[in-house]
Amino acid sequence: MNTLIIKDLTKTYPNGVKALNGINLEITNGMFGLLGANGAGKSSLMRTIASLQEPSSGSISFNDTDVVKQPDEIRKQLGYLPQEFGVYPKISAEKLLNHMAILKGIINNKERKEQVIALLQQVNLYQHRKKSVYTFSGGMRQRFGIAQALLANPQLIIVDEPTAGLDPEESNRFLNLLSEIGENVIVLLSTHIVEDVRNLCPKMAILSNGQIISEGNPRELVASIDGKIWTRIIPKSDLDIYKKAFDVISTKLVSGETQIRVVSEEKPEASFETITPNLEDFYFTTLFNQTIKKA
Amino acid sequence: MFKKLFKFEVYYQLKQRAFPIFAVLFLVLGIFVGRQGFAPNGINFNAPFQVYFYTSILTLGSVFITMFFAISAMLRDKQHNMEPLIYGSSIKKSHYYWSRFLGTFLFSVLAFSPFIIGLIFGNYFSNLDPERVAYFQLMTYLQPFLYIVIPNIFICSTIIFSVSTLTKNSTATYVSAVFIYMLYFVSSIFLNSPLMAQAVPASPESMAIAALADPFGIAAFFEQTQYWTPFQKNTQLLSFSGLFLMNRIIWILISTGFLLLTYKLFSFRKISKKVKKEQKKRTDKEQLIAYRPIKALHNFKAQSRAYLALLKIELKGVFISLPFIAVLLMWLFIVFSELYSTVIGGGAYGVSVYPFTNKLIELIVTPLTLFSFILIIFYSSDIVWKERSLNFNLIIDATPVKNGVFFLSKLSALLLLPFILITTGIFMCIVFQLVLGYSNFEFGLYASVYYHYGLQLVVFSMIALFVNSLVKNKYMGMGIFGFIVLLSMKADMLGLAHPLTSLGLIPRLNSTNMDGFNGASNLFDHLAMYWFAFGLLLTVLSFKIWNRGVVANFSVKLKQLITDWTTEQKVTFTGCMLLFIGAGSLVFYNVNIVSEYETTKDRLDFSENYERKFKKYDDMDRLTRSSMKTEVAIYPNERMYTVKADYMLKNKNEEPLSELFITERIPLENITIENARLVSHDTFYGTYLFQFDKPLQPNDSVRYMYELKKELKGYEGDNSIVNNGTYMNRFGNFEPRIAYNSGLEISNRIERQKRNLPERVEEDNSDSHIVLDDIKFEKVRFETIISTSSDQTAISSGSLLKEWSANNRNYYHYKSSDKILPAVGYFSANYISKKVNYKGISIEQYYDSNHDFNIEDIEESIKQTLDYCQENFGAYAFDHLRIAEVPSYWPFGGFAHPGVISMNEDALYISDVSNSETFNVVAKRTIHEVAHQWWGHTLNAKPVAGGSLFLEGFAKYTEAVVMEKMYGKGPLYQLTETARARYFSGRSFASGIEPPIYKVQGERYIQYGKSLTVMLALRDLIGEKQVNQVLKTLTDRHRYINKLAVNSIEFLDEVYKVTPQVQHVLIDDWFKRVITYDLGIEESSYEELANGTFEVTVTIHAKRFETLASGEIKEIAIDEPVKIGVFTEHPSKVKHDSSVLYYGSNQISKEITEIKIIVKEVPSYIAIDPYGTRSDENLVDNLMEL
Repeated sequence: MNTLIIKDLTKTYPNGVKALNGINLEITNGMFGLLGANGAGKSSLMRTIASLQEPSSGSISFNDTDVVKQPDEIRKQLGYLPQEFGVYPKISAEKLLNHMAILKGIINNKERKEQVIALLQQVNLYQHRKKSVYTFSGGMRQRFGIAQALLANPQLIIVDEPTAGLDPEESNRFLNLLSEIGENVIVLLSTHIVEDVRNLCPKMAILSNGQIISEGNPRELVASIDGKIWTRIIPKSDLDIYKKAFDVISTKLVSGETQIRVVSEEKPEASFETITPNLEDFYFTTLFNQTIKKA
Repeated sequence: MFKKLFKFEVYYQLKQRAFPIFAVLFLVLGIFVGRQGFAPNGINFNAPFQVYFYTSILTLGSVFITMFFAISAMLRDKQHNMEPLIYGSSIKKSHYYWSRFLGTFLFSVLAFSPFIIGLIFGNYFSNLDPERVAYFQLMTYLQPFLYIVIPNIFICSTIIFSVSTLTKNSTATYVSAVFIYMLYFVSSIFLNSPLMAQAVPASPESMAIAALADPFGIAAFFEQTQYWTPFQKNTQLLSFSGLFLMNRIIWILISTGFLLLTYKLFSFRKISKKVKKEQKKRTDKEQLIAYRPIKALHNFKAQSRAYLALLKIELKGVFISLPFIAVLLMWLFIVFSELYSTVIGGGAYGVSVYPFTNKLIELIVTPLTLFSFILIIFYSSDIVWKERSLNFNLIIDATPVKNGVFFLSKLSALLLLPFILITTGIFMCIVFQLVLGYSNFEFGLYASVYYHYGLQLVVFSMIALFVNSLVKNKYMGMGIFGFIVLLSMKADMLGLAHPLTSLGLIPRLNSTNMDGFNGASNLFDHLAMYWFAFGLLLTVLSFKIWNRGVVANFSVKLKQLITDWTTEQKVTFTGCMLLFIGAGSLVFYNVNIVSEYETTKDRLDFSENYERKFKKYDDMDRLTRSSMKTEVAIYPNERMYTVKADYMLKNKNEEPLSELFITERIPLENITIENARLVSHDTFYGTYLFQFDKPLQPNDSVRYMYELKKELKGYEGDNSIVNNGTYMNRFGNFEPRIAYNSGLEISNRIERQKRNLPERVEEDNSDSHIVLDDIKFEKVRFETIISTSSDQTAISSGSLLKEWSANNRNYYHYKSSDKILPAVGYFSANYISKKVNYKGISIEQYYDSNHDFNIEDIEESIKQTLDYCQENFGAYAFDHLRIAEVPSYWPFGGFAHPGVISMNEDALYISDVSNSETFNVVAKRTIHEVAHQWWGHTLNAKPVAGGSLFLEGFAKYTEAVVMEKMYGKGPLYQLTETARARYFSGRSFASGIEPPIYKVQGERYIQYGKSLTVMLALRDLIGEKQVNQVLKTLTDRHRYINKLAVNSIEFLDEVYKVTPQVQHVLIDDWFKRVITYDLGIEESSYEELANGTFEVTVTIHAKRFETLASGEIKEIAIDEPVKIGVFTEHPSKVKHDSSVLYYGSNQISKEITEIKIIVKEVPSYIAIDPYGTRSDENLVDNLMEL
């Protein structure tokens, strides 16, 4: 069983921005979803865990080794896919993956070849293996990124927005692969697609402004707001009025009509109907509460 | 619409940070260039020629500007993914295209133009010598702007803009810029322009090709101005005609064509990538392999594999990048052309040289450093920042590869760059030697290149790595490092000339065949250690601040530098530090403490104070040496010698002499003068003042003795005492000056003004001075006992009385039988000798064992010269003639001492004259130096104006007549052509007013150039017999006079005596005025006559010009006989008179003359003045093929 323990992790950038602010997490095998808006600090947190930047304070330990002090140790067990990345021009997918495999420490030629092929097949790039990754489309490149993150035998896989740019089929395929692997290792997945987290992750956390504002099992978290979410269709022009009157957590267009969702212990008004909340509602409720707290 | 687009273009380009940066950069460059006050002597700092020169050279830099603006004009839409928006809009293609082009062109011009403003500013607002800054004239600056700047930038813009438009690729744009440079380099090689230093002038034909091929017009500019006199350079603007005009027109047409063609090809539709036919999808029935984790290893082997994989990626990145390929190809091209142009017919007179390894290395090292810097500057940033700029760093940095491995792979890739250049260069040299059938490869010498030249580049690479690790982005790294390279090459200008502060000026070691590296490599070795340790220190620091993942800012890096030192790091750092300090101290000790470190200022101070303190002794009467006896003991291995001298000094003045002033060259151990006591001695300036007990009466003599010991201290280099090839001569010897030494004075006029020293007096060159001046320098009796180590032979002037060995040393006792000029040399080396007795004269050759190619030719030439000179000019003065080889670092081809001649190894021994078709430069040089045994050692000219006619003028004349006797008329063609070119190019760089020949002083272009032309003209006019008779009369008259007395006026008097009165005017024109000619053949044809002979009709044009004392050139009338020749082969190939059908004088008195000549065979060539007896700038039209 792998354990990743994060204690009081803070990262302040030279310009004063607090990207991480007292993060505490304990993560074990399985997929862990990290939800958060753009700029919430997801990528900073992941980079810090991946030893690509040093925290300002706090500690990270993986299986009892200190990641900050011994970055080499975590790198030996790490698979990392950054949110955005480029590659060397004029090197084919197969060669580049092979190159990465060497850097990861697979020195047995036969084993390496096998794994490279297996991974290319897994991410459906096998027939494109002779093409330069540099010329790949966004989705293909992303799949390549996933393949390299799975090289060797990673015990901690960190994937930052992995499904961005993938079509639903590819996305599914990839998430299945991840959850398969995730049975024996830690998979840390950041995303803003709430659905993915609900489908895959037994555990999750919501990050906002560098802080964890909620953490737990998605099902349990959603259960906590059961019966508190109300909805109704309103004319678009009334939106501001409703926003002032009620705790509107989200607005959506449904078949061209404006649908609002409101969090409330009781039925806010006759015209509202109750609705079975989903993870998205929980996410918005949490964010809403956070904003209220701050204000 | 166009207006709006153009306005936006202007707005956009203005907003680019690069515009103000470029503009300021070129303004500063202009000021810098304008105020540095560099111009050849006699040319104003702001002469139109100089302004043209700088402007045209600097337009080479405009390529970068243009490249930048073109990329930002044409590629910005692509880079910012704006293409679909722009191309989808309703903009017209013509508006879009022309507005962008105009923007590129205009802004390139605007960014460059501040250079001219800076130049004006620099010329007028700095403390340049006001006498050399002419009044401001707008055209001086405006004309280069119109003729050079605008067209050049237009040409660059069109080509680069077109490439960028058509390829939409910034690398291709970069390559097109490099290609433009290449065109320039190729043409400058053809032309041997001053930027590419080469000794041999180009032929007019290749010059014309170069002038047209150079897109920058620089070659054309040089072609037009090559023979301009300083007067013309100061006053004349460029004429928009000839090749220069052609060049401008051709290139503007070519580039306009480019632009229009591109416009036609350009389309708003995106450049679609060639859609490769989808290969038939191989139905990959590949077995599906299941993914399973694999245990990775992280041991040493894994890390080494990672290192190799990373290095491979780095090298691949470099090797397949176009700039690298372009630089490598250019490098190989330059190496090839340097080798080819020098080795194959590239020596003096177009003679090939044997490809000795040291010679080839010398040729490639200068471009090597330049090209390596380009690579290091460009690729150091590229390599260090590679993953970051590709945004691949987060992935690669998360792998378990150790920091050290990443670092090492980058460092190795960087160090491989100069390594590759050196290796390919050496490979090229070896191929060259193989092809030429040369097999003495001297691999050790090749290997030394890695050390002597590679090491500096390695250290620079390490600095580059450090700089790039420290800065925040790639371009900053490139910029800062580039700046460091520039500064280090100019360290002396920043007052950092000390070897410990100037990596860029690390000494260059050249090896000679005779003396290897001249034992002078101690300084280099120590500095190598010092700088290498410095590089290692920086490398350790770079490693310390090497970081992964997100780029840390400066303060974090500083923290990293200071904290967390591991034991290994501490040990390595301390080790390097110790080496650095140790080697540094060693250098400091040797440079500053053992021998005193002198800056330029120190030297100037010394000169100033010497002059102030001792100038008063300059007017004092002097004593003349009447006999010299020396004992010189040479210790080549210790690089030391001792001298015991015993002279007689005679008072040749009319007054008694009471005081004697002496300035030493090498500190004396003791000095005594008979009947005199030392009154004062200044050890710092090395001066002695003696007072005679009672004044020395006229014609009385005193004995004068001194002793000295010369040892090399610290890193002192002294070419006169070396391991093999010791040679003490007038450029490096020990003789104290028995006088005030005015040669120590500061000669630079500005520097004298700054220091409030009076102006130096110009030498009097009036006719009366030439005749009446009394020179108290005369021939002496000479005797020496010279000794050296047991494996060497020692040589000096005089007959060898005795030679013996004792104490494991060789001794030689030489004594002159008659009085000789006291211009003696002392030689010692491991010589092979060859002696023959020829008509009572012992001809002795002493040479290096590797250099036996030309010994027979030399011997034959000596015999022929002795025969000719004895027959025509009188007896040879000695019973021996020794020729001794000396190492190639002496700045002359040969030097004639009394009865002994030194010959530079490069000039004589490695020329390849084995092919009888080549001009025999070996014979030419030998004849010249042997001739000096008459012209200098038998006939001694008075050292006043006109004196050098008797030395070099007559020696050149003897060269020509003996060469003609040995090889026919052919060689005269090359001899006179070279003399002519030397004269015209020499006078174009001359300082001061050109004197007529009879007043020639130091002007080497007259001594070696015009005097041959004029002597041959005289020969044609009055005949060889008569000329020789004049020379013999003078020689006989002066042979036994010990004084240096003969002068040019006496010579002309003798010439008049043997010449009809009518011709005196013409002789005066040649000797007493500065006259140049323009001769040429307008047209010529021949027809066969009934009697089987051929009638050649030729139309000749002829003009004459006089250069006045003001420098102005004026056309004057012509009326004189000029030779016309009709040949069956090219006049330079004539060996026998059988190929000369006609060679006769024709009176030319009009500008256009038609002449008919009857010859007996079918003529092939007709030429006017084929064997150069007139100074004619343009030789091409003198010859016509029939």
